[in-house]
Amino acid sequence: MQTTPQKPAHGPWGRVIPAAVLAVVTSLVTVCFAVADNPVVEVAGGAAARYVPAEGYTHWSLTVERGSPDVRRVTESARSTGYTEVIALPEAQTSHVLAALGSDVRTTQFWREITHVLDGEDQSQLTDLYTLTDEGVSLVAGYGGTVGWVYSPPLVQLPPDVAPGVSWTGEGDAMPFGLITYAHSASAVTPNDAVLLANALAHDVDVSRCIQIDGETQLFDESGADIVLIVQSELWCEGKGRVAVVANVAEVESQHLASAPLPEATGISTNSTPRRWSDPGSWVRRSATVTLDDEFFGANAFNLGLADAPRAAASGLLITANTNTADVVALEPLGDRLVRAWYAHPGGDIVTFSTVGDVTVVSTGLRELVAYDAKGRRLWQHPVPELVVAPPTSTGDGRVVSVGLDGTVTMLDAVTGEIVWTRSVGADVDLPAVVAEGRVVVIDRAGAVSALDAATGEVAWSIESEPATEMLGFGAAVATVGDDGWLRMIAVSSGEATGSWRYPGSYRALLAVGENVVLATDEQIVAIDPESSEELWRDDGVEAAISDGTTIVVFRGATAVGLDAAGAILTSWDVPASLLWSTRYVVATESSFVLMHTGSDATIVGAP
Amino acid sequence: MSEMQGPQKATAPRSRVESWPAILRIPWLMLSEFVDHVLLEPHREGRLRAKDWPVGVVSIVVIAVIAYIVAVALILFSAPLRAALPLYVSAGGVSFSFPRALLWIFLVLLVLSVSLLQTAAMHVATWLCVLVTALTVLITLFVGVTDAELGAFSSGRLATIAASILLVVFVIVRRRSSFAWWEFAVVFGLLGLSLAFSIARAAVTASPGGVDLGPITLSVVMFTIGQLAIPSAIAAGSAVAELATSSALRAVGVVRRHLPVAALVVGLVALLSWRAWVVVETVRAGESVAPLQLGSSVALSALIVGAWLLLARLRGSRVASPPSATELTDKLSGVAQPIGAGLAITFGPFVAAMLLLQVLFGYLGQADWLTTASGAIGLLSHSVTIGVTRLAVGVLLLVLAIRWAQRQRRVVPELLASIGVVVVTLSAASLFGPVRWLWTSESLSIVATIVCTGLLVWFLVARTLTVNRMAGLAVALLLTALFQQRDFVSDPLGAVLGFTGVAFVLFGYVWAFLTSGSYANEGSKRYPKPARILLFLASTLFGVTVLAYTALARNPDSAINLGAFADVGDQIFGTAIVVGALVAMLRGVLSDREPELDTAGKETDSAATTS
Repeated sequence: MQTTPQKPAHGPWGRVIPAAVLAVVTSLVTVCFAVADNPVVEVAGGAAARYVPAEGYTHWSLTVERGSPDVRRVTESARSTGYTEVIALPEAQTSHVLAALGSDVRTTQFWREITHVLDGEDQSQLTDLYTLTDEGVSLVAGYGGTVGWVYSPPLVQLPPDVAPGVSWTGEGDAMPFGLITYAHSASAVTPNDAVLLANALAHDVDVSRCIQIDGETQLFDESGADIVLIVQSELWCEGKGRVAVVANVAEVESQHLASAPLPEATGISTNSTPRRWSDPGSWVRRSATVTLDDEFFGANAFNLGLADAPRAAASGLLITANTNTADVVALEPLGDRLVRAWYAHPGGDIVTFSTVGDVTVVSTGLRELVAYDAKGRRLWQHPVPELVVAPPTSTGDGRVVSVGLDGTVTMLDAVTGEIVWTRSVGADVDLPAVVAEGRVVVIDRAGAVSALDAATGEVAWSIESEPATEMLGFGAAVATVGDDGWLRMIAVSSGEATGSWRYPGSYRALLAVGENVVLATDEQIVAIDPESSEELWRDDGVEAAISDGTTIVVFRGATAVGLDAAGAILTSWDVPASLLWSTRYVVATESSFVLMHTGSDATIVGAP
Repeated sequence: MSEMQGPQKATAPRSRVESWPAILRIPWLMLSEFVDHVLLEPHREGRLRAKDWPVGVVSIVVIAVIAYIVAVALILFSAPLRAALPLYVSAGGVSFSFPRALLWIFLVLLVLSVSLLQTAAMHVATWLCVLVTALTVLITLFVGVTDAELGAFSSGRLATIAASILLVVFVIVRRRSSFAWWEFAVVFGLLGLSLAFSIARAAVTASPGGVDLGPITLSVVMFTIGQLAIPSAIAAGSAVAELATSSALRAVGVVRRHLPVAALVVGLVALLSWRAWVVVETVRAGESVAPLQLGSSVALSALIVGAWLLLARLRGSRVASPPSATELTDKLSGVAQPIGAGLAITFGPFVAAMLLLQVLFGYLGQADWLTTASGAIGLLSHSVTIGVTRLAVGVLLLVLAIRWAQRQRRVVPELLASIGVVVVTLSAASLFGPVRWLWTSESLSIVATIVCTGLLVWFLVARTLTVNRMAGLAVALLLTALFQQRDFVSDPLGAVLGFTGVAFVLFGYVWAFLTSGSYANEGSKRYPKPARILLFLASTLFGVTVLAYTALARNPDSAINLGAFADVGDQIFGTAIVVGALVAMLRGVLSDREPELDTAGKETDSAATTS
């Protein structure tokens, strides 16, 4: 405890010394934290790393071959460290890649290229995996075509000291078990190929930051006989990867040239077919496995990391966000399998996504909106000022509305990405917009509801309400599930409140069933006629609920129960209960509902 | 001196202002007087004063104030900072995003807050010293746990263990001595360097594997200890109500002093019309004004009036007049913080227990008993536990009010009684029954407006409407209006920030920083002045740090939703102060007395807010 008060110091030094010492200590601590929080992680690969594209880089190219139509390609780049890239490969390929890598894969830096071929008979999706190590940039694996590759040792693309005048060679296996082997030689020169230079200049590429790699790769079969000789000149540019290539493969010349974006903009449906389940009473449950079917490596179970509910596209595909590799993955239900139809890497973490007919719109952590068509081919990307955490909303007429966390509402053409209009509501928004009656209705975190004209973005009305957990359109009204325990209906035309109901418990789902509103909480599920405000029926609480507009499926523990619009039980199914360690997601499709969680297994309840 | 006829205070030299034409002079005097009384006077009376401070305290205060300004700046510029800087994003059910480059600033602010608190606690009552030191040790070990190594004790963990031991020894050694400035330097240096080392070690270990541990560490730390900012957030909720009340009082006061009676009449009519329109619109909207809610508003007001009458009776007739609205408002900031701490008292043990569990998990690994303990600790944050605790706090406030009234104190007992009634009512509603019958600010405003209107009509009919009564009713109506529309304070700031939920809390924090430091201008044996100064700084700095974190994460739930707790504070303190002020006003109206500014017996209450 305190004894005698401290005597005041004498003279100015009595003030200066404490000030100086405290300033030094404070500065020292501050600097220590600034340094501690910024550990320098060197990008491996030496000088070669400069030429590797950054995370999320996208590159369009045109393959030109005499006598053949041009083939468009779009390539997305992903950068990561550690096992996730290797584990994401086909299972049959993974062990061979691990063996080829040898060293501590946990700290190995990877670059992955995902290439979609848009034209020609073989519109396959190709994946190439490179490592960035002390050996430079090396190709270690490839799959997706008719042949799959595992290079052991990895085939050096760029050595760590790459510069004009440097040469290198390599040889080893190009396939598991030495089915095919390779011998490679290459040298780096100052760009001099006329075709490559012309292509670079045509696309405003700064050739002074590029290097040309002239190389030959000979492939041999098990017996050592020649299979094919690949001679190519590649133009690598800093931050852009392989910009253009002139190749001669078995005496056939081809050019892979940089191109402006040429997305497939025709034949893309943005219509969302209303879901109408047929005879759910006859549905049966079956287990399903998420698989990756590769032409070369066969069918392999595929682990998905899920942190958000899958969405159903109009094409029947299930769109998921794989948190393991930050990829969008489309799954096609085929019997007892969910087969990977395509996958894409929009860049950065996937924050949210939604489907607009066949178009998938993804919001990323790099603050971009990226759209894909039904085959997973990139359509457009658009930078946004702030994260978009609310799934974009389809307008039903080929447009999509996205609302940023900063309240920026943007209307875009779903196919072309052209901005129709942008408006700010001035406050943060984390719920998706509702489009109804020619208006876009947005609710911010403070509960202010604004209606914007869907054609122009002009504010039609704005009212103060209560913060909400959910907002859904019901014909000419929107319903908001307030954090204060009230369900409110607001007329879209005027902003007038048309009804409100108190609800107990924690919100679980809000459904439009016929003309009625069905609100599900953990304590009850209740159907309300929004016109008369009459409660139609009520039942016990649920964990989750989905609907096709006429039939409701509620989930209670390990049971899913089908109810009709009047709340009568149609049937029930045994389903996996929620896992303590992994959230269960349920998605309604055209003819079933699917339960998924992180992993490779799923449950489908649908027509037998 | 009456509230309406306060000191004639000119904010410009008399000769210059007096020479202005009346059309300029009068509005200027009104505005300057209003601003002075509402904004400047609370600051003059409540600010921290650099008087008789021990050596070195000035430097510590400067460091803390600079840190405070940095935190507030981060809040104000959170939107452009997020737009300009790369974000760390973790996707998931609840996505988390944060400007990566600013992360280390929060580590510094957190360690600075903890160091201020720890240094303050070294020379206070033993129980508080032990509690705070234990909390500091737990926080240090908790952060150190992130540096994990298989089969070995990592150097990061060793550093935090060593720092904890040294800290405890230092506290024991210095306990019997007086405060010395270099104690803060030692504590800050010890905690800062050990934690920085541990974080650096963990980052260096994780980053080659592509894992960015910094945001994860900070988010876990904020999520765990951010709850310690709840008491200050609850107290911050009183700021807007305090400002609304004093604004209403002063606004009518300046009109009375500088304008003729006709202006008061016009103002009263305008207020009445405005309130009538708002009441009609509110009733039409149909929410929060059900008959039960109106009834409970009347009941609440009656309970508070009843409590005041009881206190007056206990006090006897020696101290005649009940407290004025101004006196209540002046005392509010002094009681808000300790009451806020009481209402959130379960969060302290909860945070400490969670820290301890995390440390044990980190060092011992998974164990069944730890899992069981984790479940048990969760009871501390259960709504029933919180409700019971708040009910107990409400009852305690009523008991304190009675005891202090018996000791002839004035103002604070009435204030505590008002707050106690509100707290008991809210807690009982949350514990025992549906909240749909509970009063709301809308229903209270309607009841108050109806009462004021009824009194006005009565006085008009009885021809007993005097200027004093008109002034009192005008204050009451304006107070009611500002209470119902008290977002007028935080909305402009919210419009600037564009971020919901931060403006209200930020205003409360800054207001508290500027006006609630007076308890640190005095000392006592158990709580000497340097300790109070550092405690004040620690509390305010920690609150804005947590708020800045949520602002930059653009997610009010990223640490702890301080806005929700500020709303609780607003509901409790705002309701109590407004109902109390209305009761005081209307009592004056009934007895045809101008609302009083003087606070007879003010000296006997000053000690009530210090302990």
